[in-house]
Amino acid sequence: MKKPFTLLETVALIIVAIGALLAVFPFYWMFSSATRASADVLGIPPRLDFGAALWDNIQTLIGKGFLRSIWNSTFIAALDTVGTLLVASMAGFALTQYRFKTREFIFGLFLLTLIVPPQVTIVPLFQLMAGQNPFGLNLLGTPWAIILPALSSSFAIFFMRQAFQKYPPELSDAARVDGANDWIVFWKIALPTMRPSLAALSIFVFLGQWNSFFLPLIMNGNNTDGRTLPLAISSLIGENEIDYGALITGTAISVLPVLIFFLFAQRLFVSGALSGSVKG
Amino acid sequence: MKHFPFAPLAFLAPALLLYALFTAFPVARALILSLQRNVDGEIRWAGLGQYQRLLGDDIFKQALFNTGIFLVIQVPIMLVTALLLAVALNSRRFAFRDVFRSAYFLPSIMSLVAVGVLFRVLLNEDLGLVNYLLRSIGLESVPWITHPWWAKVTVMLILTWRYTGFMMVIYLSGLQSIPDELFEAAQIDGSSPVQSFWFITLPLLRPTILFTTILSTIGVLQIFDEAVIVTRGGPANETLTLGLYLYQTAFQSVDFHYAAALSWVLVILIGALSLVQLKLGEHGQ
Repeated sequence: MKKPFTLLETVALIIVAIGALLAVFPFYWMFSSATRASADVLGIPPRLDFGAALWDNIQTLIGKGFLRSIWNSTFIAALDTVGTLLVASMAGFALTQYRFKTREFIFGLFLLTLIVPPQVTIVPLFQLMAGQNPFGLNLLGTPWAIILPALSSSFAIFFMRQAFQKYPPELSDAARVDGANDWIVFWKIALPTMRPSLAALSIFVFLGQWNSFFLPLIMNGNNTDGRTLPLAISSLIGENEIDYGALITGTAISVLPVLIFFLFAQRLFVSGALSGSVKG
Repeated sequence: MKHFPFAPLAFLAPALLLYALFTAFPVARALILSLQRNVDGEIRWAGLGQYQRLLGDDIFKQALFNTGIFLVIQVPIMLVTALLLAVALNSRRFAFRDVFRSAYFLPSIMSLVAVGVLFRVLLNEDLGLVNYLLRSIGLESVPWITHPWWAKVTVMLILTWRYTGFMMVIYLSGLQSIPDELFEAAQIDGSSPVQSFWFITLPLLRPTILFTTILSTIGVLQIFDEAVIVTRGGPANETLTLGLYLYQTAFQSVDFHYAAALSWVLVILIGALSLVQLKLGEHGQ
């Protein structure tokens, strides 16, 4: 039934295919390089095959405290995800299920931060976490200095507000008639209906924190034990004699979980769930 | 339905508290810091002194210039490429379009640090794969990291590789809101694919294009991770970005007040550019 491709379509197909190869090639190169020794990662002639040095590279990384960094990244991203989901769900619930005077104003406040670059808050945040504040916080070099500023995410609040807009208020009303208070209505009735949205949001929040570099770089201070994966990788580059095998293996290890998430939830990423707010 | 009168506030309390402490307070504090100076450990009011310093700062001007180059060259190339890809991959006739969509999106899931590492090794001047390929087809090695202009090209290549697929997905979701009937009707009236693109797709995609332009502008103004890993702002500040200069000022020169002024210039620039783009976007409608 299909008409044969026209010349324009054939040319377009070839160009798109070449572009797609360029997009994917660095992933192949990274995973194959992770199995080669340093001289075979960066050397002439370049190699594209798989080698036998994966275990050696992993040993080198373990010797440099890489396991600790994997744990740090996991712990920070997981805690950030749980916290952000809770904070944003509560905010989204309040912003959609109640009418009150300051509702739009408060939502506007959160939206405003979408254009505030993280660099603006970084100096005062550093001072705050370094103990130069009236609140008695002294958290520099602890995971909390990275997690706390991330918890009130405008993106997450925006996302959960949109999700709760589709929630039928009759469900809450029925529960209230049965004597449930506001918290029970939120926790037992409304939140369980949000599972698909929560699952999608948790992937984005987790990956965002897993990949983040700027805030952890500042907030970790000089605590070598507190390094997240991106910090550990960046410190490998700073060494005088860079072990390229270990460097690429470390990079591959940091990308692997992200790739697995992507392969399982491809539809979510490519459907533009992230940009659901865009349609103008 | 009646409810506990403070319920909405109670539900918003955690978000508002965190917002006040870790966003609103730091933003306001940065403004105050930018109006002060540190004279041998003593904090004094400086009025707009820090901002005046910026006007005479050649490194700041260089960073601003570099950022401008990225904006003017890289953003249009990336957005046009992304738009064309989206149009192609929106067509049902396109073979393997789901596979291609995923392939193009893949780079945007990688952390910028990882992207930086890969490109740094692949673009190594003497031993890197890319220059090896260039030499093998008779071209000369390109000084990707050490030459003032090539280093800029490198940063733009990285940005394009990382973000084109992401922008494409945003365009695809915009395209899906255009009803197919419009294209079918145009086709029946004898409109060519190019005409359909020009007179249907582009005008209807206007809000999406505006959104991606603003998103990319904000992104370019904040470039940090990849520049740190690949070029460290070099050679001779040729790839120094505003974000990187701010970091160096705050945490290497430890000049918090000057860095705060820089950060507010960043806010004002982002606000102003977004506003101009919004106005331009409305204007043509």
